[in-house]
Amino acid sequence: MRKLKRQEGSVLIMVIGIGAALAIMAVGLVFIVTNVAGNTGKERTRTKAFDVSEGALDYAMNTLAVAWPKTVAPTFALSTFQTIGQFGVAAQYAAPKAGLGPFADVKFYDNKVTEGQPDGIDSTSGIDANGDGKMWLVSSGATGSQAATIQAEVNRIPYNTNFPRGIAAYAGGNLTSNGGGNNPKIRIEDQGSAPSVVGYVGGNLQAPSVFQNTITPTVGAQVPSLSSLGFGDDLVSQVTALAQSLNRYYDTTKPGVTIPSDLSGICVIRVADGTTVSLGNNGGINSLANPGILFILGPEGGSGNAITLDMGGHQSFYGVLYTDGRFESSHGTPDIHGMVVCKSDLDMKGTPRILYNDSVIANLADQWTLSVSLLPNTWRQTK
Amino acid sequence: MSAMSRKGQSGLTLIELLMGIVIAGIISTMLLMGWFSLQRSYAYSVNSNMQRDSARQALSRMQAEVRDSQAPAPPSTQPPLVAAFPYWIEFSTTFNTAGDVDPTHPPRLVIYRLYSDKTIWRFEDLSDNGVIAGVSTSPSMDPGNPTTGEQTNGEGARLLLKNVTNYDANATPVPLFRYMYYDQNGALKVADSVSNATYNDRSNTVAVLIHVLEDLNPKHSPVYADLQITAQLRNQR
Repeated sequence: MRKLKRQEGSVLIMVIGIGAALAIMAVGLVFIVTNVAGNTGKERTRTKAFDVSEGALDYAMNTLAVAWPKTVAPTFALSTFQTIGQFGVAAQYAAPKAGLGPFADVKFYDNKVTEGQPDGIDSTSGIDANGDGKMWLVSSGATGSQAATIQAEVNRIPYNTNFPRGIAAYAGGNLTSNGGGNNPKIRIEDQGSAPSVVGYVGGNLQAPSVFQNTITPTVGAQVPSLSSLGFGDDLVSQVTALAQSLNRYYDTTKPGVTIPSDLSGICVIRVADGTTVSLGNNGGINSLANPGILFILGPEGGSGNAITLDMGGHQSFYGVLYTDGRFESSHGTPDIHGMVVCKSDLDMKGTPRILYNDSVIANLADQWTLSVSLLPNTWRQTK
Repeated sequence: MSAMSRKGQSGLTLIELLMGIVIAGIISTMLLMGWFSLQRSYAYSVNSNMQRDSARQALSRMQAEVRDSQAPAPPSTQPPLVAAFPYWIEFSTTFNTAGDVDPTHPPRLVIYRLYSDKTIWRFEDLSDNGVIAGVSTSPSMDPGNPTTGEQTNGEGARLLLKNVTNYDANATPVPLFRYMYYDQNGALKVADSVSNATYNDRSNTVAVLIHVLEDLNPKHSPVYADLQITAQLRNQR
């Protein structure tokens, strides 16, 4: 066996030393990079949690715009929010860790007014109990290991309906009234603050006695246009836009869209020309305190002159009824409380009644919310 | 002793020895240079990672706090932004303060300021008396106008970030803060500073653009991390 020299193996020790130093440096670098990456990831997750809570706040504001909570407290629909807000992708928005609460939630509170102080939160009420059109929203979002909470006070901006007052009925075409024995069929139920009540018939007025004698009829060429009366295309467009924002717009000329069974509240329906739309025969649509707007329009860009709006039985309707076509009631004793506007004929066969009610028109002004906006200097991120 | 055995034990010639020394020197130099280079790379990687991390966190904190700025309740007419300059900003906020869930809890003043020693400091009105003691709020304040004692005596003083090179005497300064506001004609403008001197530009500020140039290698030739973020003032929407 060969005897080893004293120096053999010294290179190995040097190599081991250098390797150890490199290993320590590598471990240190990995540790630092991991730490920095962890911080970056945490910051990213925190930003996502903030985005979720802010998205939930916006969604809650939309919920209030659709139905301002006068009597019933709203609830936060998490699954709808995740779908609409595109927060449902698990790869991007991980489920929150235990103890952080739900992915998103919004609490609705009424405001508490104290003179000379910023509004407080009335945690005992989930509706606008004091009726001042202001609510607090406390929105929380959580994803992964991070959570965020935002609170803000929001303000309701009501839709100002601006319907002209003092018009009981407007017929762009003829007004017929078979069975004159039941006249007057167009009456004043509540004149309210309207200085006078009028009726307009652009075509032939078959029986002037259809109007109560305190209603002044204007007939033929003297009848002003609807736009000059404040019921022009712009008003129709506004109401249509509002109905669209509240998901109460139905264009039945499009595939798969049908006339809704619920015609209460605000409802704008487009139908093909020549369609007959039934308002039902019994029951009631709307009320004096909560009247509605029902527009039956022709197809977009086309005529609706041959649309027929049919109403019969003991049906009643509170609000403003408008159609591009004609109104017909040949059966029963239906009542319309408010006003009726037809671009075409108004056929008062049988014993229907149009009862001008100014309170109905006035009450329309507070029925719907145009938008809900953040009140300045109330937005806070509290977590 | 035979000639054969003498030949086997013969030493190195001078030429061989010199060649060996030269080769060993070259190899040693290469090893040492590699080692030093590795050390420098390692140090740079560690430093730059940590600087980037610090800068990102500082930027995130400033964004969260600025976007949360809130005007004090009446009768105060002060807007959320109290002062808006290129290298410092003063605003009132409730961010990260105890009791902020109570809407009646008043906001307090906060200042972020860049100094000539390349540090950003945060000051806070801890006493809630409407003034941040020990911190100058002169409009002429900028890193080129040094102050003494603010970093040690300023109310609620906290070092936020080091090695910020936005203000460099040898280069074109880059504003730390810029402001988006609606001018009197309703046009959206961006400026390095806004005031209410001629029109309510400061009151109509809707966003603050925060731009940090962070030196990743402070003791060597400058290598910057250029980080920008926008804080939309939620209470000014």
